[in-house]
Amino acid sequence: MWRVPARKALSRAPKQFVDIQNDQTSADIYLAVRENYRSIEHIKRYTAMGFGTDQGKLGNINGAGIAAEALGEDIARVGTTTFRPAYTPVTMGALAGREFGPERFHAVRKTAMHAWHVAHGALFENVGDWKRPWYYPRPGESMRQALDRESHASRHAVGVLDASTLGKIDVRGPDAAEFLNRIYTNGWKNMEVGKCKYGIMLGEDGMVMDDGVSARIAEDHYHMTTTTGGAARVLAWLEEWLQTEWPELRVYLTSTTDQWAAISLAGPHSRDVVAKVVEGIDLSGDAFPFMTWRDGTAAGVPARVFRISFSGELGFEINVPANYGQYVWDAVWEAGQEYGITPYGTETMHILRAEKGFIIAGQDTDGSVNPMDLGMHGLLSGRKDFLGKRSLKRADAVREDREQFVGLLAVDDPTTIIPEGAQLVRDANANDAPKPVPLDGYVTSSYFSATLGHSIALAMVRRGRERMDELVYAPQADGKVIKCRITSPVFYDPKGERQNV
Amino acid sequence: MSDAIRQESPLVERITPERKAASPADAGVTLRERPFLGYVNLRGNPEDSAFLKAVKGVAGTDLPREPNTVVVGKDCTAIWLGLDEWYLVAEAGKERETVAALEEALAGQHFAVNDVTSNFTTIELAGAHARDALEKGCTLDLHPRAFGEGQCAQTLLAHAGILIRPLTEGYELVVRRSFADYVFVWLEDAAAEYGMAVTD
Repeated sequence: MWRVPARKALSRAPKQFVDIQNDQTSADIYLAVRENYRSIEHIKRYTAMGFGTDQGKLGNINGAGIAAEALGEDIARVGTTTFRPAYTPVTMGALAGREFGPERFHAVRKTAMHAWHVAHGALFENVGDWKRPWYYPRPGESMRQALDRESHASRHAVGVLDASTLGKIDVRGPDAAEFLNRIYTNGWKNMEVGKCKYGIMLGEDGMVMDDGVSARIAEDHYHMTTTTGGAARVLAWLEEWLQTEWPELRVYLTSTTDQWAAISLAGPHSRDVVAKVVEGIDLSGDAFPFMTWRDGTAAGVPARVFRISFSGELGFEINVPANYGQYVWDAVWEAGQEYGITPYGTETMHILRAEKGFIIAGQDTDGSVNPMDLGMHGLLSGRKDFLGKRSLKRADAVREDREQFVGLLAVDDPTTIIPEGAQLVRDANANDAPKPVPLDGYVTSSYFSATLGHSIALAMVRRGRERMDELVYAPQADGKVIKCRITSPVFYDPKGERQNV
Repeated sequence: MSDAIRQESPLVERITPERKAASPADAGVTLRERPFLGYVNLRGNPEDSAFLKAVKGVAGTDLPREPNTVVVGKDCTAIWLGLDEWYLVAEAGKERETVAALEEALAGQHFAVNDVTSNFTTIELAGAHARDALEKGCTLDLHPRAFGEGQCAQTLLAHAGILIRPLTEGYELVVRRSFADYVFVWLEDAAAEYGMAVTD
């Protein structure tokens, strides 16, 4: 009576679902009994019957009946599992409570300059819990037009970006240099005070976990930055290593993400703007070269000014205590007017960095990408140990046919934007070929570059680096196939001259 | 810094003269922001008497050693965060001199000190229904028999990490700046049935 009879043996018969929340079937219950689980509590745990949010209210009576049948017992002797709430039907609204709508569904994090972005027409992108300006369309402007304008300003005049959301960790103690040396893949011990360095962190599996620029504040003191979304995870990861594996290292970590508002300037006029706002720092290229930082004031507010660049342009990042963030942003905005200062969002930031072939950890990497795949051999120190190093020698990590980070250009129509996530194949006629078609890689990032006048994409392609100028194909759902040429991932200013002026 | 330099609380858009004016007279919950309090994050070894002595010389108060407790001094409140971590909270504007004094007093020791004034804002929640409102989003037992003056806790309020401590009247919430807007919106909603006044 508890189930529909089947002609075939239960394990071969059409599935008879009992608990539709977790897909348990009559066959699963019979299997549990064959495995000698005889108590209904054990049958429950073997099958996961009744584990759903309804706690078995929908399927458990049938399940107990089928179990009794399988056991050759009376259902009263089989009994029920421990009865748990909800005892009566509960509405979804009662479970959701007040956690609905854009303001309360989940935490929303805002920077000190959020209201300014809203007032200047920004559309927002969710990055972690943060709201980041995505782009700032003017009335009547399409997204493409807005991005072209923001990119142009950043390459030819000056663009300003709210970079406050980057994770920031204060690293301090006599062993801080040794600690960073173990965490990052490159060497950190000989870095002078006042300098900045780019580093990547690997998981124990040797895969890229996070990246960022860290600056040496004093002999025993660093200002570390992480990706926006990775900040909490990285801090927990660093604390875990300090507390459980390396308790002998004298290092303190303090999260300072919210303390600093970060105003990032990019473009040939960025120095002119900084000069009007910042005091106490010699801004000349010789005194304040690329990848260094200086203490000074910005609009009278104590500031850490970093000469770093994620755009490939001359760039500065002004960090001030966030309570003064809007005030200093206003001063920068005012100072930049004569140079055509233009606010830009994460989308233009992505375009500018992709033109330079700079990765975004978590977009161009997915937890299966190691530094060699990215061509970052130069960041792997041979003279020290670091987290993940041993995993880089695994047979799979050094396989020659791994996917490697390359650029892609659309061949037939150079303005075609190859969809992000598109799968790449070698066979131009893959749509008609027998399936499955062997995969050759996938697109990780893709944009229209106004600076170059054509589209660009970044991709992971099997043996990509030795296949420059070869063709690969991106079949689309609509049957079209985009023909792509493999290139270097650095599309613009390959010698890096623009950021070093 | 000159007085013309403007600080802004993360609640500048929420706590407005209009919002204060719209406060009901018989509100069951009263919210007051104490912006710009001088927060300093301190790390050091409490087993080291030299460290404790140097900190007391600057803060004028002992550091709490008992987990989740607070020591309220004359000029400075010390809040326990972890076995080797505290907030020292001074009045607004004092944070830079606190940091400088700690740096000087602790020179040569292994310690870390950070001005985190801008990292937070401080919200005081009082009124007959303050606890009722908080309990909607906080799983800790906030009843005075379990959580009284002198204690503190790091916990979640809805989806935001906060530090909470009972005051003589009501509670103090230390909220990370970026979450402050969300927390305010959440509190407005949680307290709506009791009526919420926003005061100076």
